[in-house]
Amino acid sequence: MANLASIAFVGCFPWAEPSDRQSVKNSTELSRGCVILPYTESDVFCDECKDPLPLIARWTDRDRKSWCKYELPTGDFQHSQSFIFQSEGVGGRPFRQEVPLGPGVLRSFLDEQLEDEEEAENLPQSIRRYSKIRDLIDTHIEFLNDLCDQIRPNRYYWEGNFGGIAARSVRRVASCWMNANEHGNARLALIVKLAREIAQILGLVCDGPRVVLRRSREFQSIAKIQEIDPSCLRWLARQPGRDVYERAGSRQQLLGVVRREDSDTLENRMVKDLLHRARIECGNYISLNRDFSNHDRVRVVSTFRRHLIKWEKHSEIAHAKRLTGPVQPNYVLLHEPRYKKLWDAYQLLLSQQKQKDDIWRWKARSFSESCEFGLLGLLRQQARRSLLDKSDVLIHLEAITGKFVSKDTQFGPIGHSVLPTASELVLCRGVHAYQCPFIAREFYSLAADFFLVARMSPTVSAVLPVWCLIETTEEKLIEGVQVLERKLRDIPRSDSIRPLILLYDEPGLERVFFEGRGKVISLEFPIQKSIKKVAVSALGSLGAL
Amino acid sequence: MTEELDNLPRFLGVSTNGPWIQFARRNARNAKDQIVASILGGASAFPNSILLPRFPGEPARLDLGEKPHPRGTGLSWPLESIVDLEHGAGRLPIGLVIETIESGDFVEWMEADTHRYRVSECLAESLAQIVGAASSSSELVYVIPNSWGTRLQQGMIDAFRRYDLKCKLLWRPIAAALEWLDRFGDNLTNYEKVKYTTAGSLLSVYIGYEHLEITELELVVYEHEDRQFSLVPGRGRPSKLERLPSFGYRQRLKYLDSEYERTFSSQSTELERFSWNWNRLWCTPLLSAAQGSVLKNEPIRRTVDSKTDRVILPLSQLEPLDLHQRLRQLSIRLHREYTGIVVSGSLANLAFDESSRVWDWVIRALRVESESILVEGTNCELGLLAKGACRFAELLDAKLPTYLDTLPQLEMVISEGGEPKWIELLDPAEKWVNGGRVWQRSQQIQNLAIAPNSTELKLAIAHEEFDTIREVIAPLPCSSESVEKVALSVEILPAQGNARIELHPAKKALFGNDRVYVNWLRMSEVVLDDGKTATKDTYLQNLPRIFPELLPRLRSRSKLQAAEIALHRVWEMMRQEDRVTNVNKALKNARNALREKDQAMYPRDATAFDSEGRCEGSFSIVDFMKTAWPYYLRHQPEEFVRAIAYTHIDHPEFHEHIRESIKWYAQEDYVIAAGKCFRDPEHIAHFFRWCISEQGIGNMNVTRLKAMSEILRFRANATKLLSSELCLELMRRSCDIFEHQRLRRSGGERFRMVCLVIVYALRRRAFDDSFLDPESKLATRIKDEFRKAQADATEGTLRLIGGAVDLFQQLQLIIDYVDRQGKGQLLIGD
Repeated sequence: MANLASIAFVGCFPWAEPSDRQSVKNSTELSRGCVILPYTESDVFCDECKDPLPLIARWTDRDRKSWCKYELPTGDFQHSQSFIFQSEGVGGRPFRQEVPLGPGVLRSFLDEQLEDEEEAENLPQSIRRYSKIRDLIDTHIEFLNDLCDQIRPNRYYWEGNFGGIAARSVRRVASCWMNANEHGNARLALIVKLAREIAQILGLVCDGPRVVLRRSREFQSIAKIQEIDPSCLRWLARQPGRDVYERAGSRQQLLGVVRREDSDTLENRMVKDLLHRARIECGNYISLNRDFSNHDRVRVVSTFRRHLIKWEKHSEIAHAKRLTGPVQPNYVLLHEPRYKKLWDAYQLLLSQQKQKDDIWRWKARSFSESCEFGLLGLLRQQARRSLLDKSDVLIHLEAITGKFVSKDTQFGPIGHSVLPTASELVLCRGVHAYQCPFIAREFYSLAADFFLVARMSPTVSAVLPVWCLIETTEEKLIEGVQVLERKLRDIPRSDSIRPLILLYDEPGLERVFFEGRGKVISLEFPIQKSIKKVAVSALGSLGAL
Repeated sequence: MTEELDNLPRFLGVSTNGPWIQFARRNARNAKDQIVASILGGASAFPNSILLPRFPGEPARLDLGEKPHPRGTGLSWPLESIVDLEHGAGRLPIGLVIETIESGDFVEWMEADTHRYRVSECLAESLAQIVGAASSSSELVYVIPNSWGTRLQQGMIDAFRRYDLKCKLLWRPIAAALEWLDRFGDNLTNYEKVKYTTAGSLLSVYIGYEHLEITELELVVYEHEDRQFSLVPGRGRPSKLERLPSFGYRQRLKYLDSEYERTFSSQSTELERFSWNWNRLWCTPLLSAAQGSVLKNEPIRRTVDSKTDRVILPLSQLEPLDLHQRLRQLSIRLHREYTGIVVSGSLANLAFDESSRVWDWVIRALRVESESILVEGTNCELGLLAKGACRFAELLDAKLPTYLDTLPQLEMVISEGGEPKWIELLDPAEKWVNGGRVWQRSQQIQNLAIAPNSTELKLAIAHEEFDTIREVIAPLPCSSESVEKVALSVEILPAQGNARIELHPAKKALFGNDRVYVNWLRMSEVVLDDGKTATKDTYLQNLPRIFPELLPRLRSRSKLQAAEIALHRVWEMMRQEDRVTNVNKALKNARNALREKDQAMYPRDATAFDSEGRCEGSFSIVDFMKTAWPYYLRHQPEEFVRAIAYTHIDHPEFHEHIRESIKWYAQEDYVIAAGKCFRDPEHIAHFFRWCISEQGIGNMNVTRLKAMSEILRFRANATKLLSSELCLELMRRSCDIFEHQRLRRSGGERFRMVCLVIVYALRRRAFDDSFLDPESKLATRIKDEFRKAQADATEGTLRLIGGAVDLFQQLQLIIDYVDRQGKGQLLIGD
């Protein structure tokens, strides 16, 4: 734990506390980094993201000091640092501090690297690991986008959109999530729609892009000069000689104005960027659906990708320069029929990629959200028609710090049919732990992603705190688990605690801890299949109570 | 799912009476093509509820099915499920909807932020989601309690309209009656076929968890256009007595209390008990299981309900024992035997522990009988009210008679001849109006005026739902620089909200193409100058007037006793043809008794006979005159005219005799008699002309001034045949006398009488609105004189002789009347 200016503490696991006093020296030590600050109402911002850092825990320690714990994004490189700041820190003073970020890779770089499936085989292990994470994140995004797009209310389960939020019932979210992998076909993603809708137009534009006649000054033989301008005259006046022929020199060339067709326009630069982005997206899609390579959608996207590569290399558009900075659309982009369609497609693609870029920094949070859906699905399978079933899942139309599900989402309890011993089962999200009457205050500082509480009676309950980690190593995990065990033992009635750590695609790191009551479980892609392991071990351990 | 509303029929009956929403529609798939009712979510589910919005933009929605949504379930987690007094509840059970609408139509829920919702809108929004897709082609009929006034109706209609639902409202007893008629109507053939005669009576008994509603309806003969006759239910004006608090929820709560004590330790808090009760009552099928379950027919021990319980339910202090007594009391107002009885409500078919049914217990307590009883859940399926509502819509659509209604009492103030008065806006010539069809006032209300440069027209309304006067506003699309005459047309759809009052300007083009209606949403309570609210009487009293109200003499019972004895004595003597001197003595005694004023009624002027010639007792002055008048004609006793004058008698021959006697040499007795007894405008005009032209008012004595003042203040039509010129002359000369009296510092009777003449002569404005312009020379002179008198009164140099009124105020009142701004009565009379 690093003590930065005696105010901010950076922890390498979510359960870290200022009292741990473990120093974090660099990014590589962080598994799922967090920063702990004395409690204030003010939001904490980070240079790396536009939204405030997500508050994952708030608690008061034994010395009656109040703390807030914020999750940190991952960086774009193996070693990254960033500034965090608060407009009103402790004592009302502005606060600014540099903190290390977890190791990461730039999403666009990753996409470039992984674009060609054949070459991907030769990539280093670390990049291939990121490929799996990318699959998870992209699948998660597409699932939630699909969920937001479809409103299917009925008399018993209301659904609707309001104020940038899509309200869907747990019943549908859970069942859709559980069935998401059972379709047996490639998902209808944005790139599929674009491949179908803009391929032809894109071809036409690449073959005959809109060009402008640009005036330029070039040396021409005297006989061929048709136009000169003052600048050419000034040049001519500066040349030695008595007449034009002497001034034309040995080559007998003078500076004159020529007009040439030029495809380097804003709209063609946009098309060039579109070709590039669409190609990357095609690569993503093909990679994600490699198991369905014969599917019509995948074939369409593959064909589209081949065309994109051809157009990028051989069409006039290749002569356009790269875009620099955001595009301010001109008249052509807004009103020319062909370019307008491409502009619309470009915006959609840009928006999607921006969303992916934003979420990429919060991989662990997206993984945790996916696990949460998984647990909802498991619970629903066990007990249909419960208050949980009817609870609303409030989904932001755009992810905020890696999570689509609004922090206002809370779940109702499940009746006693799941566990023979428990009268009620409650799924509580980590951010609400301090508000939930069933969770002991000692848990607040541990910042679990969510809790499963089995209430045997009004006074007796078993708690299953869940942490989700997406990037860690065996060495770091062992160290972190030891710290966690120590903390859990300090909690009253620790024998009724069943801690669970979910890892992504790290089967070698699975283990038991906390005297056999805790488990580290690895979930593989697709999570829908592997989440059943949680059902067997986690719910089983609660049932054993 | 027991019901499907996916293929919505054209008409849909909806009832939210009780814990579940009931729908009814004609089932086209049914071989018999019957109207079928269904309970939303199923009768075995937890009670239907409305989930209040938690976030901006989130709609209110219905919660139904086997398991509830967590919101407002009374659990301790999640946060939205918490229900307590501090935060309220995020769930509004349908069982509380009617009561909540009646008690203000608002509900509050605090979750992160305080939200306040209009219940009627939440209900409409929720129903719109259920019937939404097909609502454009479907029409809902929503059943409302019989006591709902136009304000609640309009609120409900507006709420439905806001969510694009076509909806009509129907009275609860009428919905029940329509079902009864459908079942038993064909048996009723033996009735007199005369339009609007009553062919029997029907008792509608609604027994709900929350209250009982016992309504008597008439079965009225209705004549169709093709001269066919049928019976329709007729609804009279609702009475407050017909609604009683019920015991259903209390019984359930008591049951829950005992269950809670059995299940949990006594250490639990009141809040925990409350939350548990709430959860069990509204989020489990407890009430559903009660269908056919047992209620206790015994008084409930707990008489004080906790504050938290009152949040759960609209609990009354009424216990079943009290209810039985109150039903017995109510039975006094009811008939013993009815053509039919229809019993509806969720509680109707439940059983008491000794196996008698609730409906049977209520009917026996009411001591009513009928051979044709229809009971919801017994010999009729559940959803009787919804079915009745659906039937109503179909009858209406088929242009068949539905029911007959009576209109609410709605009055407004108009000025008739300068005299403000209340008139009935919805005053039907006939007792009944057709339910479901527009009723229109046969005549427009004429002669309303819009003041120059006004942007709105204000109307004072006496509404039967309010104890005090309300003011409504009709916003005008344009203003005019001159006074504009307008008329009002009034129409109303019974039970469908406010009346539509439209303004019709005399100048047709005044509003252009705009139609101007009174805006009921801008109705506000009238507050008088003294900060108090207004009743009908106080409103009129505080209305600025252009002339004072009549100030009639009142009759006093105490003063009649002495006068009656004296008159009987005179009567007896006249019968016996006694000597004239003796009769004169007796008449003198009678006169003294008749003129004597009742000081107990001060400052009002009261004698044995009032100014209309009536007395409190059984004495008949008309019979007296049958003996006295012939005696007078024969013997001419000199005290007769004056004595009889004090009875203010309306005797044409006596009046004619006085008229003929008013000559230049007229005796004072005839002048007094003219002042007290003249009613005919012709006689009055003659008298005034004589006073002014024959004698000259400047020389007029107090008797003549008093006579004139009495005529002016007693008789509404006194100035009818007096020309404005004559009245102006009267005022001019009266002003002269006033000035003279003021300069003499004399506040005696002459001063008082001349004040009365001046102020009551302003009543000429009733017949000539332009009479005595406040800015005219004479008016200015009068006001100046009175202001000088005010100054004198302030200095103490001018004082009224007799009486204890504030002279300054009284003089100011006269000035205000001259300025057409008078308020209240003048108290400086005799």
